[in-house]
Order: sequence, then structure tokens, then C-alpha cells
Amino acid sequence: MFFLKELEKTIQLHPSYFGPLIRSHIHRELLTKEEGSSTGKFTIVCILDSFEISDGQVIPGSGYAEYIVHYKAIVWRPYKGEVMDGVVTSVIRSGFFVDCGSLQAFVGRSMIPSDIKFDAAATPAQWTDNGEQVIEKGTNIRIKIKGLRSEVDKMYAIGTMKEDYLGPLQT
Amino acid sequence: MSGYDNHASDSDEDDFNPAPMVDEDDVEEVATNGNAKRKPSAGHENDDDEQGLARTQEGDDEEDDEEGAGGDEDDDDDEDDEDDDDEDVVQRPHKRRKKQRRNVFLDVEAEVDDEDEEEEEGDEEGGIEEVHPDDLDEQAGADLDDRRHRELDMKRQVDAQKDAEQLAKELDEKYRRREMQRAQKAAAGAVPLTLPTVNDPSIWVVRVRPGKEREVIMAIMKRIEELMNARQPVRVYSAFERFSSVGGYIYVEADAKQDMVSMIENIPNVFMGTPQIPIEVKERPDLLRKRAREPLEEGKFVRMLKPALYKEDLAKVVEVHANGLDCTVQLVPRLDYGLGEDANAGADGNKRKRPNFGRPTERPPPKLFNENEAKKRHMKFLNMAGSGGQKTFTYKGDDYQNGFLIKDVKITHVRAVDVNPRMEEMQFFSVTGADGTETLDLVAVQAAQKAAQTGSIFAAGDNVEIYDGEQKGVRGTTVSVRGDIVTLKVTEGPLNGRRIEAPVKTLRKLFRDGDHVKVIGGSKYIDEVGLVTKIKDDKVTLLCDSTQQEITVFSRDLKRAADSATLGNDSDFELNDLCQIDAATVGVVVKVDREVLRIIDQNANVRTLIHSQVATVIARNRNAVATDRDGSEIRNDDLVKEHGGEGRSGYVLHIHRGILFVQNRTETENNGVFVVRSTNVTTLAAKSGRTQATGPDLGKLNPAIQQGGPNGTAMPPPRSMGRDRLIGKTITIRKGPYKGLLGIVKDTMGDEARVELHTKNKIISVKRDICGVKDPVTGNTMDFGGKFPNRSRGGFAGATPAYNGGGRTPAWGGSGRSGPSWGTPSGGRTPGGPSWGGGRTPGWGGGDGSRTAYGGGDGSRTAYGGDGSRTAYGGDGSRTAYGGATAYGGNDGSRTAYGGSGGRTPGWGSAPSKSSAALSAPTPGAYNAPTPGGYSAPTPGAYQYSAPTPGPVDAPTPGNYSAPTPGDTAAHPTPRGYGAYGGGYGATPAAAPTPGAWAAETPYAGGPETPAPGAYDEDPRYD
Repeated sequence: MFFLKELEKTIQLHPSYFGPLIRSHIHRELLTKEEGSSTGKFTIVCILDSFEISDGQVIPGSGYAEYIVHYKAIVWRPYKGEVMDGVVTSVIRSGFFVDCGSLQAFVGRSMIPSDIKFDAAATPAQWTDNGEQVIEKGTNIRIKIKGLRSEVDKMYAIGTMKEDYLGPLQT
Repeated sequence: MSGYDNHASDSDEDDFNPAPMVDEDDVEEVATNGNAKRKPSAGHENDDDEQGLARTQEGDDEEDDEEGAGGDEDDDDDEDDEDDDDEDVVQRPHKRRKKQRRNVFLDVEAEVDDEDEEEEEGDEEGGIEEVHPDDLDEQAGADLDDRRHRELDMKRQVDAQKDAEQLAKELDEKYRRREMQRAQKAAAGAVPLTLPTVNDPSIWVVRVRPGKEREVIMAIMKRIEELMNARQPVRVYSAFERFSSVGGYIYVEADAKQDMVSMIENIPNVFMGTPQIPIEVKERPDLLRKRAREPLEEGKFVRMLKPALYKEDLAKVVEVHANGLDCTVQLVPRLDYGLGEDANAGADGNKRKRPNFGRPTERPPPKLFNENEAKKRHMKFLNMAGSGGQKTFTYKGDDYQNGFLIKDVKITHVRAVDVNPRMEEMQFFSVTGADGTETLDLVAVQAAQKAAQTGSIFAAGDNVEIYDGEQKGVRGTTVSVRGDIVTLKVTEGPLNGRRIEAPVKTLRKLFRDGDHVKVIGGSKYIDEVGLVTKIKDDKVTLLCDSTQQEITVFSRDLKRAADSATLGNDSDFELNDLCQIDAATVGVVVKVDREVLRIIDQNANVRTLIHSQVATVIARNRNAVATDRDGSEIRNDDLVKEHGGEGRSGYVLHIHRGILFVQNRTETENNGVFVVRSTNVTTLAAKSGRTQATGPDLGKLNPAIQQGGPNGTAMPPPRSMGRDRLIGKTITIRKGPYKGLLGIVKDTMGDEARVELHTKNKIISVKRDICGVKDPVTGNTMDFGGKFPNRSRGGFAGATPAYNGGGRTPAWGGSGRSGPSWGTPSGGRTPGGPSWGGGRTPGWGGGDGSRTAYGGGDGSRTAYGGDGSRTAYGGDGSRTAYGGATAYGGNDGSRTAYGGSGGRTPGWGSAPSKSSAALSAPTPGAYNAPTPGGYSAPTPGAYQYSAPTPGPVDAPTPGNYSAPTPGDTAAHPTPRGYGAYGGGYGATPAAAPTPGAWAAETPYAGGPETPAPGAYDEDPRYD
């Protein structure tokens, strides 16, 4: 789910950057470092342009300046039970992995409808019901999140496609 | 006490050989039969019988104790009785005849019991009487014992004489007892046996020599036999030993201690010195309780107890024999192949020699059987059987298979508990089977170890469900765990919020799909962390975080995990570390476990190694670089794609000598790591490009204002080769805490010098650029070639450095002393002074404004002054080249060093003076001789180099000098040589003027280069 969230970041600046371009340096830093990063709880999708930079404060002892930047960003946070679309990245015997944006989800064998079987003989390997549903690397798929785990900078999920309207998307 | 007799026949204990006993008994019996008129009194018989019963009861108990030795077989006898009873009823008459040669002891018991039956049936067989004579006849055979038969007969006769009433009473009594016994027996299955009471006979524990328990029991049995034969009362009910790890005890049952003592005294191996302790009533049943023995299974690991050689060694059970007493184990032999033997001892010498009596011998280390080793010295003991992969050897009576010793042992000689195999031991077993089929699952063993170590499975806060009992279905969270009782707070249902207690065994942990859990015990997956994908009953399937594989474990072995997995954090190794396995092998860790590592090596083999087998972790080399098949650079973290093959792609983890360890996170095998040759991949994206795109790091210096080229710093000054000239110099320290102190340089390292201070006996390190070189005698500061430390560089710059390089400088420095003298016109005098006349000196003075002028112009100049003498060489034209050298002076102040050389000058001076006398033409010749002498070998070299260089470079400088000089020289004819001198001086290079002076020489002057060849030509001469 997407949210608009107010965030703040502390940026330290080497004295050699002090100068007329200081704001643009900070702006660039903010964009490159924050956009696309994940805190483990959510992913920052986009930083909105209106942000304010506090007065810089020189850190005693080092000469660095510290700026606190307040900004608004569109963030994305997956929830248990949420249905989302993703792309299959890897198909293995015990299930398949799906990338839903920054979230990596695994759909285990027990979460796949029983009529969809693993076919190791196909190239690439795939899960298929020998009908129109084929899940192979690159397939767009809709899954539902069953469980979430977050590490410091990454989120992992267990997904299921054993419910109505879940499964490979027709393209 | 017939029970004891029977023991012999029924015994299936190996170390007890019944045959001799029988014979012995027989002989004995035969002997006693001779005076067989013993009249068994009824009283005695009763007594006997009672004891028999008591023992029978004991026997019952001991049936449970499979190793019970003592009266063990009484019970079997009972059963035999019954069988025999039935049998005998039908076919006794023939059997009697037929079975005459049957084992006496079995028959005897049968007889005794038969007696009852027969009496009951009241059918007095006439056969008995018939038999009796037969038996007598048979006596000759001497291997039958019919004493009992006759006793029976006699007893019957006695009974027959009793009146019926008495008989009935006796029978009644007897059968009541037996009924009771039967009832007990029947009940034994379900209800515990009648437990001993204080009224029952006591049991004493008797200390005997360990290992001799059974012998003692047999001795007691024999003694009982003897007593019976002697018609003396036997007052001991039973004696038995227990199989246990603590040997050295037997147990004797008797009414009074004195009875017991009289029975065991004077039996060898009984320690009468140790007091015999009666066993408390309530402990007595334990004596006969069968210890729950860890069942032996094939493939299980055990520890050896018995052959002392293999004590505590790890063994693997190959087979458990059907008798339940023996097993075949596989163990790593400890053999020395005769190396420890005395080679001189005869074949039987070994037998005579007592092998280290009382001393613990050094055991050979466990090592797999080696055919070749055995062949070396013990060929005669070695037999080979089988073929192909399964070679079996018989060596000294033992079988060896695949290097293992295959040994049959009693199960009591191995221990199945507390095995705790260590990894080192396990390694031997891991190589089993050449085809690799039987390779030991290290991981499984390790799991077994771990499982034994895990403690309580419930922790406060676990979600649990009661799945058994009245409260089935209640769910809650655990609050506390005390022993086997778990207190839980109910979270669902009508009991919500209540705290209830439940025994651990009715609980199971409750997880939900998607829970993040950790395996805490019970399986080989211990410590794995993952997300639950499936729950069925109490089996939970989870997807491991580390391996991305699904595993199934029991829910009781799981616990809710903290958010991230730390696996094997007590290990030195981490996932994806590059490790040195041996000198030629490296590998990347793909799995870290507490005991083992899984490593994929450079040949893409996956190995399971224990931590100690891996030498070191190789730090990741950030600068490692390789080239792909297109010749592009590959660095760590670059995305590469395999060319051909499976076309795998991934990020480079490590680069090792053209081998890339690449990781692809979407692969699950080997943690996604695979190995490719760098020449077999193509680079898809270099990480460096990405870093560029993100812009400069604001935490670092702004690259825009960073000085210097892309390389950052300028090229470091070249290092001089060979011994540092600073070593051995006297220096003062110019800065820092030691400022002003005088010392001698002992050693140099890079830009540091180790200085031994004069003031205190101490060696300190100082930067060499704060060392000022001093003259050790005068204390004057000397200029040191420090700024031109490099000879080669000097060579290029001009000859000057060459001088320095020649090591001359110091030498010159040394002679610097003469410099001063030289500074005094006298110096000048020396060379030219006298010979050239005052004019010379003045000439100098005039030209350069005296010494000072030299100093002013260049210290080096001064040197040149010295060199002026060289110039004399110049006389021969090649000198001119020298002059070129002079140019050096012009080059730098460093020349100042030459100032020192000024001192030299005098020396030369003298030479030139000579030369001047000889005039230019000869001069060279004259010079040639001395020069080399004066100059060390290198010097000429210097000249050589200098010759060309100066020409172009220094031409102008000298010009300055030359201008006057030549003038001088020109002024005087004499100086002509000097003129050359002068030219050489400054001016040599100043080709223009020199030529002027030297008309003839012009050609030389004409081309600075020209001289070069000239110089070269000359060089030989210099050399």
C-alpha cells in the first residue's frame, strides 16, 4: 500500500562542499541515497520536491556540517493479506520467487493450487496446469501476502496463490 | 540345590563351559555313589525343597535381568519342569530308557517334579524298579548319574511307608505353595512381583575381584553342591552377580550373615577384608531390575568398553546378532604392524615376555588398516580375501574391511549412551565405501549431537495449543515453565484470560503461515531460520532464509525468531567468505554450521569440512581484478554472465587467480554460489559505473577541488638501491624532541633512520629528512647527497650527480677539509698555484671572484675547481666533455658538495701541474694514470655519462664561467693547459669560448656531443 509520509534525514557534508552549490549537493544526495531505499518496514518510492533543509551545524572536531532535511515521500509498505502483482524471478521445485517491487516473495508448493504442477522438463522450468496457466521466469503474477519478514534494508514475504483471482496474469 | 546343577546345562554364557562341570560332577557322583547309602531325611528334603522354592522365586525375578547369572536358570528349569511334566506323562517309560544318556541335570529336575505328579496320579510305575537295575548296569558307563534316581526311589519307598494321612497333608501343603507360586507367576506380567519384606532373607553385597564375579558364583555353586553331597544343610538361598559397568560385586542371599560368610569364605577372588553390607529391603528389587539398555541398532555409533586397546574408541554397529548378546562393530584399528615388537625376539619370545605388566602401554593411534604396512613385517599374519572394491584382510585373526576392523563383541562391551562422537573420530567413518555410497552423513551425526544438548523446548511467550487431554484445543501463550509443567495464559475461547497449567507433553507450539521461526532442536536443521509455509498437525514446513529451501520439522522444535538470522555466530567463518582450504585450494563458504562448513572450492566441488580443516579466511581483495573473455576488466561485485554452459549470471563475490566465485541469489543450490573461470564470462555491468552515477560522496573531500591528477599524488621519489649512504654517518637531529642531539645512523628504513644517540645509549627512529649530516670530527655540517639520492637520476641530469652517485661525495666530503684549505688560496695554489703562478690563483679570483665566487656561483663549481684539474683532461679534448661535466656545477647548488671536492682539487692540482708541465698532449697520458687512481672506478663511468649530457643542457651555464676562465687561460699561454682547465671548468661546455681558447680543440668544443664520443674513446683509458 502506498502512503505519503513525512520523513527526515541527516546529511553530513564535507567542508569542501561548502559553497554556492550546497543546496543542490544536498538535494542530489537526498535523491540518490533515499529514493528506492528500504527501511525494512517500507520502501521510499519517490521524494517530493518540497523539502526543507535546516541550518547546517558544524560538528565539533571534524569540520563537517550536519543538515537535517525534512521531506515528504511516497512510500510503499506491504501488509499481510495484501494482494499484489509481481514478476516471477526464479522457479524451483519447492515453489517460485516473485519480485513485487522491492519486496521479494516466495510462493511455496503448499501455496500453489494443487492442479498446478512443477515441470522440470520444460525450459525454463515452470509450474503449470498444462493449460493456460504457466508460471515461469518473467511471468506476471498476482499473489497474496501471507507472511512478512523484514531485515534492516530488505523485506521478504511468503505469498499464496491458492485463492480466487490469484495466479498468473494474462498479458 | 539341584538348581545350581542345572545351571550348567542351561547356561548359554560363553565363558562358562559346562562340559567339565558335568564330568567333574559325574566323577564325583560316581565316587559318592559308592557309599550311596545316604538316607535323605524328610526334614532335609523339606529344607532342600524350601530353598529350592525360594530360589525359584528369585529365579523368577532374575528372569527380568537378562544377565542374571546365579540362579537364573532355576526359572528355566521350572518351565522345563512343566514341559517335561507333560511330556513325561505320556512317554515317560521309553523316554527313561531312551534318554539315559541325556544330560543328567535336566533329567534330575524333571524327576524331582515328576515325583509330585506321579504321586498325585498315584500311579506307581513298576518301571521304576525295572529301571533301577538298568541304571545300575549302566553305572559302568561312568558317565551317567543316577544318584538322583535312586534318591527318588528311596524317597518313594520312604513315602510309601508313611501313612496316607500324613501323605495327604504333605501333598496339600506342597500344592498350596505351588498354587501360590503359580498365581504369582501369572500375575507377574501385570502386577509387580511380590516385593521382599523384612521377613525375607537378607541379601549381602560381597566385594570380589572385578571380572571374577562369575568365577566366584561358580565356586559358590560348587560349594553348595559339595554341601549337598555331604548332606549338610545349605543355608544360602541364592548368589548372583549383576552385569554392570561397576564390576566387582556379587550378591548373596541368606538368612544370617554367618551363613553367607561361611559360604563365601576361602573362595578365591572374594575380598573378605571388605565388610559385606546387607542391602536394604526396599533396594533389593532394584538389584534384579533390568536396566533399560539403549537398544543397539545397526549403523549406530557406540563406544567400546572392553578390549582395552580400543577402550573408549568410537565404533559403528554393523550387525546385532540374533542372540541379542553379540554384535559386530566396525572400528578404526589401532595397529602398529609389529613395529613395537622386538625384532630379535623369537617367534615365541613374545609370549614369554610379559607385555608391560601393570604399566599402561602406549596405544597405537587409530588409523585405517594399511595393507602395505602390514605386509612389511607381518606378511605371515596377513591373509587376503575378496576382490575388487571389497577387499577383506585377515590379519592376526581379525578381519579388516575397507580399512576398518570388523570385530564381534558382546553388547556388554560397548556403550550406546554418552557416545558423543567427536568430529575427528567421525572423519574416519565418513570415508567409508570407495564408491561413496556409504559416505557418512556428517550432518546427521551432528544433528544427533545437537539434539542431545538442547534443553527445554518451551520459552515464555510461545504460542501453544493443548492438543491432548481434557483441555484439548485450548490455545494460549506460555507464561512460565517449571519442570514439566507449563503455565499458559489462554488467549482464545471461553477461558480467555485465565491462567492454566498443563503438562509439557500435552502441548504443542502453535504457528501460523508466514511466521518467522527458528529451529531450536530435534533435527539436523537446528538453528535454521525461516518463514512458515505450511502447517500440518505438529509438522511445520518452513522456507529457510539462508538456503531458500523448504524443510519440515516438528513444531516443538521451533520458536518464534527474532527478525534476522544469525547462524553460527560463534564461528570464525561467515557465509560467502573465501577460505584457504589447503595450499592449492580455496573455496567459498556456502553454509556455516556449528560444526561443519560447506564450501564450494575452486573446482566447483562442494565439500563438507569441519572448522579446523579450513586454514584461514582470505580477506576480500578489493583490488583483485580479472579479465573476461573480451579482455574487459572484472572486479568484485560486477555482474557477469557465463559464456556458454548454462549461461548463469551473478555478481562476483571473489576473484582468485582467474577463478571467479559468482553469486546469483535466485539460485538456491550452494547458496547461489558457482565457480567459473574469468575467461569464460562476459561482464554485463561494472559496479564502478554505478558508483560514478550516484555522484560524489558528500562525506569525503570534494573531488572537484582535489589536487593532483587522477593518480592523486605525484610519483614518489625513486628509491636508491643498495646500502643507504646515510648509514654510518654522524648526524644531528634538526627537529622534534631530540633536536640537536648527535648520533650515528645505524640503519635506515624507508624515510626513517635508526639513530644511535651519542648522549645516551639509545637507538631512536627519526625521519631522515630531519637528520643533518655532520662531520664526525669537526662537527661541521656536511652537505649530503640527500637531495639527489639517486645515482641514475644524477646520471641523467648531468654528470654531477654521477659524482655524487659515485659515492664520491662523501669521500669528497671527507676531503672537504681540504676544501677550506683550498678556500684559502692555498688550495688553489696547490693545484695551480705554484705551477700556474699567481696568475692562476688570481685568475680564479678574478674570474669568479675568488673562492667565494665559486661558492657564489655554485658550491659545485668549487668542485669543479677541483675538476679543473680534470679539465686538464680536457686538454685532450675529451676533457672538453668534461668541461661538460663542469656544467654540472652549473646545474645545481648541490654541486656544493663539490665544494668539498674542492679539496680534491689540490690533489688534482698537483697532477695538473704535472700535466701542465707535460703539456696537454701528454697530460692525458699523465693523467690517465693518476686519474683512475684518484678517482675510483665509478668515476669514469660518471664521465661517460656526463659527457653528452652537459653539452646540450648546460652549455649556457658554463658559458658564464667559461667566459672569464678562458680569458684567464687565454691570457696565459701556460695556462693553456689550464685553459683547458678553465674550459673544463666552467666552460668546457661553454663550447663556444673554449674553442676560442683552443683553436686546435675547436672541433671538440664544436660539438658537445662530439666530446661524448671522444669521452667514450677515452674511457677505455680511464678504465
